[in-house]
Amino acid sequence: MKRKLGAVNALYPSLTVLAGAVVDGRPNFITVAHVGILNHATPQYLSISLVKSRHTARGIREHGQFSICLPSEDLVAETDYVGMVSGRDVDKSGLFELFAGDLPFAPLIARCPVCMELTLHETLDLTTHDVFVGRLEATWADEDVVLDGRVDFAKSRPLLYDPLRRYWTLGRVAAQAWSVGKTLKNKERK
Amino acid sequence: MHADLGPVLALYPTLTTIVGAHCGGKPNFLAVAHLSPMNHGTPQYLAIGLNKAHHTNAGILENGQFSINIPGQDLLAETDYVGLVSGKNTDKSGLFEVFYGQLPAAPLIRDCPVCMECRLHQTLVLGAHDIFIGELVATHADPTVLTDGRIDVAKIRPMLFDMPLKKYRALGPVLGDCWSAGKALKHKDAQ
Repeated sequence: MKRKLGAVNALYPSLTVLAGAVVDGRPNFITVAHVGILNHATPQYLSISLVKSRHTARGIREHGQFSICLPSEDLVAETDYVGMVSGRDVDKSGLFELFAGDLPFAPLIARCPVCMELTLHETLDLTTHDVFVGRLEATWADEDVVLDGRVDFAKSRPLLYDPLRRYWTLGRVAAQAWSVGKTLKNKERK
Repeated sequence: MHADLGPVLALYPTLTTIVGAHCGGKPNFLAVAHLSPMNHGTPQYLAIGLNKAHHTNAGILENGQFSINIPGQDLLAETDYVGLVSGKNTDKSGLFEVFYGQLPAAPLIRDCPVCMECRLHQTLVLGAHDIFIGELVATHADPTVLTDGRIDVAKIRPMLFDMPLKKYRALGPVLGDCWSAGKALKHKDAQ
């Protein structure tokens, strides 16, 4: 028998990312675990959800550009730190070595194995939060984590977040997708 | 050194869920891993992105209700299966034992340790996809996946979807605590 919990968001674990923007002429970053893949097509749209008052949100609104960088396990302390202090009080621009992509206001972190540049497509107003819908313009990946032109997440070693306040690592492969269910498909035909 | 891969979707892994809706009066289910919490508050909004070609879209639009169910690894084959076949050709209504909470057109899966009922709040159209933003109405969880009354992802044994390599992955070990692992840097900063 299930227990009714009220309207508790259970969409976890979620990928932990560092979202970057330029605020008052300075690169700033915030830790975000409420990110989303909205479609699967070209153009590709991704979303990040930020409390409206966040310092980074101001930079995204001002320049219409932002970045999403995926930290690996070795950046866990920096990732956690970026989520604890605001760019209003602390200059986080020197924390990471940056590299240049195609967009001038989407700062990319050299130590993150995967970095994405986005232009702001639309902003959804959901009461306390702005959901920034970005159009993916370019993806940069460390050559060490690329396998046949695709990112191998076993190699990029992402951080996964859950509401019990833990960062999880990625585990073993449980099965192949679009494959393990074929047994049921074949059974049905009989 | 970073290589330019072009605008390649690299926001993985994502949680694998089974979305349910009523299509033609019958429960239908499909595997969905392109989803997101939209905020963190009350009301809580969750989004799922579905290609318009899917059978489920019409049901969500017609009834304004859907469910998001989180399968454990023991439902791996069933989860993959509901992503392989369409409700257009196959009746998936008998695959799972279903129960209902408050919403009569949001079928919940008994064998999934966590089930959420959503009322359609807004639909965003992005090219070939409908993005359904639901308002979370209620969450149902097996007591076996709770720790101190809260959902514990380790106990769910969720499947994490890796689209580029087409794999379902398990959770690995915990690496550190949030709002804690970075405190050393914070103290350094204050000096």
